[in-house]
Amino acid sequence: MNFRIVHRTAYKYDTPVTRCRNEAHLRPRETQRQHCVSSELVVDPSPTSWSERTDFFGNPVVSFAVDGPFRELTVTSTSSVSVAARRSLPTDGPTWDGARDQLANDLTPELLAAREFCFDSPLVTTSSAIRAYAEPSFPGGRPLIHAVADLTERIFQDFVYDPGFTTVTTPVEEVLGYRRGVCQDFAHLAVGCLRSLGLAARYVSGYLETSPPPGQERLIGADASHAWPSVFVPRWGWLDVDPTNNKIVGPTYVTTAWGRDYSDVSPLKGIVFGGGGSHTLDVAVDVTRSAPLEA
Amino acid sequence: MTTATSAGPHAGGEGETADGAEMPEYSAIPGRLDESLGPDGRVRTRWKQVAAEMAGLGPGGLLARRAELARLLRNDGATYNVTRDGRSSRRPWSLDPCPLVLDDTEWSALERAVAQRVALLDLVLADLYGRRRLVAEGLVPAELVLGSPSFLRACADTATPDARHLFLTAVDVVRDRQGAFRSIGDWAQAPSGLGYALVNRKALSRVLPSLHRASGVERLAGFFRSIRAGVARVAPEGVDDPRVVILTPGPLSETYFEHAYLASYLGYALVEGRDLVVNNNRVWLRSLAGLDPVDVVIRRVDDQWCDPVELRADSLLGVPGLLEAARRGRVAVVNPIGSAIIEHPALTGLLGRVAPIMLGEELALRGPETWWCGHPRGLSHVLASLEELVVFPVGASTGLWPVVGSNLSADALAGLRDRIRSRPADWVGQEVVEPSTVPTVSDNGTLEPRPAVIRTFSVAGDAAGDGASHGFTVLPGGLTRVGVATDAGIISSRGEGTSKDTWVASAEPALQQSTWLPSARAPKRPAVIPELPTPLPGRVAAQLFMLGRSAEHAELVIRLIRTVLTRLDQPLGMGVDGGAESLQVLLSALRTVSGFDAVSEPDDPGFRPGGPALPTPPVQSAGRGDGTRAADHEPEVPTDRRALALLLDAGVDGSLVSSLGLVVDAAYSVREQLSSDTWQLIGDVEEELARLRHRPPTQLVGVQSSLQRLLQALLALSGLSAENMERDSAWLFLDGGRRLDRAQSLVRLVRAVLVRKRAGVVEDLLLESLLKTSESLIIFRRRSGPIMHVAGAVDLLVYDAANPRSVIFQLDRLVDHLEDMPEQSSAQRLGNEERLVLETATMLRLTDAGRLAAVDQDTGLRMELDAVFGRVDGLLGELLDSLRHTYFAHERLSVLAGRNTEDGGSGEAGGGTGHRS
Repeated sequence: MNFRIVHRTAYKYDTPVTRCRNEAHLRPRETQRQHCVSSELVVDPSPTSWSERTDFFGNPVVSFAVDGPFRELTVTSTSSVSVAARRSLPTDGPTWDGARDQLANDLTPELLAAREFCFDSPLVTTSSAIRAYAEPSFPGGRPLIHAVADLTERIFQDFVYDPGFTTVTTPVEEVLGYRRGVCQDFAHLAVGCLRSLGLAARYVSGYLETSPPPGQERLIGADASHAWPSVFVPRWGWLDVDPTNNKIVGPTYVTTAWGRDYSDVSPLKGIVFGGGGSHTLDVAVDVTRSAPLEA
Repeated sequence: MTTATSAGPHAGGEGETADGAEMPEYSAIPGRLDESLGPDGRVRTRWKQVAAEMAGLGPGGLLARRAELARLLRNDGATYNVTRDGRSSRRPWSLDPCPLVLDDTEWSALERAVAQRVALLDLVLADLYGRRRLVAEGLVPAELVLGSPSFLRACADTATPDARHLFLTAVDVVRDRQGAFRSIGDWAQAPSGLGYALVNRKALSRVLPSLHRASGVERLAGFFRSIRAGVARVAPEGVDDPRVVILTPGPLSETYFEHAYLASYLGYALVEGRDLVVNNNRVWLRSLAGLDPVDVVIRRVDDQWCDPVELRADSLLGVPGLLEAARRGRVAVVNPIGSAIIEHPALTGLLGRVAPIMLGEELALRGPETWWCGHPRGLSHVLASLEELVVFPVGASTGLWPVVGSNLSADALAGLRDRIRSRPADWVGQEVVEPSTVPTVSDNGTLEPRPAVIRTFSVAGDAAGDGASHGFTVLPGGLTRVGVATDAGIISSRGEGTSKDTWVASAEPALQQSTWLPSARAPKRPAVIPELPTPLPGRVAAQLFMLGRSAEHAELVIRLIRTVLTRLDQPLGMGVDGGAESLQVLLSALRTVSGFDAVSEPDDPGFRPGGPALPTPPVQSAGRGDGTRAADHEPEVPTDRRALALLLDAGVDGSLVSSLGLVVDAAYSVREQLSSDTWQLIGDVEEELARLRHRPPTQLVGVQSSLQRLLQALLALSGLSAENMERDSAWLFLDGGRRLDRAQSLVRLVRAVLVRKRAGVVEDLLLESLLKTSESLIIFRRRSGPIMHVAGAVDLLVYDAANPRSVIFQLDRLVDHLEDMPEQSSAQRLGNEERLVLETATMLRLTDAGRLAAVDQDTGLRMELDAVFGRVDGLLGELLDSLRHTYFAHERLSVLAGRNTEDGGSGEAGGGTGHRS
């Protein structure tokens, strides 16, 4: 499936900004089933410095600086992406406890790479409360995939989608306590649950198709950037699930970047000089299906 | 004399002791190894001279030497900051008169061992941020690296151009019971102590000069030469003459003294994060003259705080974009950001295993046996043997100190076990290593054995060139710290206890060395081109300006108080000769003048001592709640107390205590700009200030001697800046601040005292006081004879261009200074500041002393004086604002954006756009 994504972020400042310096995770990365055909990043006013690199997790990153004074900053990312169908799920995948033990002891490069995602990260600190929430989905000997599907469904059922409740830095503990949040919170919670059991889980940022074909329901998060967790299944690979919509992630999801948590893949972050007082932020995302493109 | 029984073979010194040499009244702790005494209780050979000197001095002499050291250190401004409950306070640095002595044979073995350990740390660091072979091959547990908050993924692809990554490293070393050196701590991200080692040497060699000379102590200068040479090597490619800065977290950081000390010793600019800016991936220093490029950053800011774009977004200490600039190789940051990972004791505990594989050698300097609780085997061992171990937290749980298991009660042990179990990866257990003891002067002058830790320092580069040092040069000596208590097993690095100079006593007399590079290396450029001057950061200019203003202000307040005191001393009862009235006028004038606008520089909350100005008159201060608040509105407040309040109330802007506080704070924040003579005076002021704060006098008469000492110090300070400072930008701002305050205070004082015409005798007394306060009474008498008249006094105080205290004189100097200050915008020929000074002078010249002195018959007021001086005061205030705006404005930093208002999210900025779906 092919998608055209336009992700526009606009800041308005009360007082002029003299300079800003930012980092953007806005170019969709390559994955096993996704190819980024084109990606264009336009910053207005024009940046005075621009550099690109691939980060520790293999995501493309753009660093740029803009000299002011300016009161508005707009960053528009336009990309074309083709996404292949999901591989079929393993029928006899490992049990979750088997996966856990393998992660703890196996030093093969593949397992070691996954190990990276077993530990606490800046925004996801595991705790006994998080573990206690996860445990009912993980009885001994249960196949990992079933356990993860169950956890995904429970988060979907137990938590209220409430955009007014949390911020980008609300701790997972608090989300768990109040049982509400947005996609980022549910992704962090799922990641925390999985890690608390010794499993490898990462945080994925990306998009959902904005308007689904006629007759299909429109999903939450379709008009903004989306996020979901992914769990490592030994001998199979990374399995992405979406607790916000209770779905296994399929070809209508576009991946931008992944990391340990939101702090590794924040779409746009940075520092401004000046611009005191308040500012407003406006984010618009449009993801539309397009005709197949020549790669 | 001693009963040391179990001391084993002694490394290096072979336990040989000198015949007949003893240290009276000193004995080692039974069972503990002592540095100075052999197992037989006799003084070791290398300690013979020191022991003889100590014995010769006796308790009285030792205490006198200790006091002398304290004085010298104070004069150098040697302090460290302690932060408790969010408040930072300066403590004097303390040095013991008895050095720690190592002989050169044992030293050269230790030196090689330290260099080897640092070389290994360097290889480990490179591996962890590179291929991570150590993890892949199972030599280092994956969770120890990948799960550590100190492993900064953003730093995985940054490196210094030099093959070696660790530029400057500290390794803490003790000698254990068996006489073997053991390392007990490795410091890589921003190692501290080098400046203290240097100041210790300077002080001790002055207090015990002949002993120092006779002992053939190896000099430290060569090491600093290696630092300079090393800096040239790590600079980005193509840079021959690197511009180097030392990046400090600022005057509140624990070891700020040595940041400044090292900066001035090495001749590098001392900067804070806000002094630097990244443009096009190059780092620039915001100096008065504009942007100066920076090639090497020696950072004293911890890893996570170095760059708010990629690391901690809430850091105001870092430089946005620094990491990307380093990544692109446009600037060398040493030590590389991310180095903290190799400080982890669980990791360094594995070095013994790693050394044969990475170096092909056995590790010569071993640490204590270490168990990391993040590993199941380590956890079970630590839980089982807690009583025999030292346990301490690593990583996230800060604010906790090492705990010796054997010191804990059963309850405490159980509590500790629970804490460890709840977050095992945050805990490490180590074998207890008992440091050897060293004689240390106690408070009654006797020598007592105290446990000692030597902090060694290594710099990348093979000074000897013999390849034996693994590419690292070790400072011959180090910073030795000793514990407070005789039996303390662990020595805190946080200020308790004292420090010692560390002597490597060489058989051959040391060669004279200097920190300058040998001339063979230097002339990359023709010698005629002078070396680039160190640029002056705008922040430093602002602080110098503040220093000038506050010193001048304090001086004026003292003079005025002294005048008031003279009045009080005279037997001027109520109504007698107008004495009481003139006193009241002077006191209210004092309050007017004290309206010192203490906003030192923009964006700098927390640097101001004391609270905000109180809107009420400062009557209730003086330290005693005696419930006389109603007196606020009555003129009959005992004059004594009112004057005292203006002296002592730190909460009143412009009070003596608050002005002096500003002097001291400003001086500390530009420490590297000031000479050691200046430091001595700042030390005097600080001491007197502490006295006034801690034992506030309740009577004005008790203040007189304090005032006298303070005035002397302040006069000496202004004398030093007039006579000894180079006329560079630094001086322009220091003197400019002084001139501006002098002009403004005088205008305010004259206005407050003279606007209302008073009875002849009162006015005479007031004029006399005014002239005396302005140091102009003698000139006036010489000129006008014994008769006081207002016009004459105003002429002298305002218009006389030859009187260095007159307003016009200050304005003339300000015009000169403004011309010499770096131009900020060439488009504007006559800068705003010049325009304001000229306008002020014109305002005054459009009238004259006679018209100013004229009294309006209806009101009894000098209307012209009131109007003109009011406007002059306003213009000078504008000048101050304009200077701040032009030279000292620092841009405010803030996080780009936090929340997505579209989704109605709320709360604090967190660093970027979220996934808010």
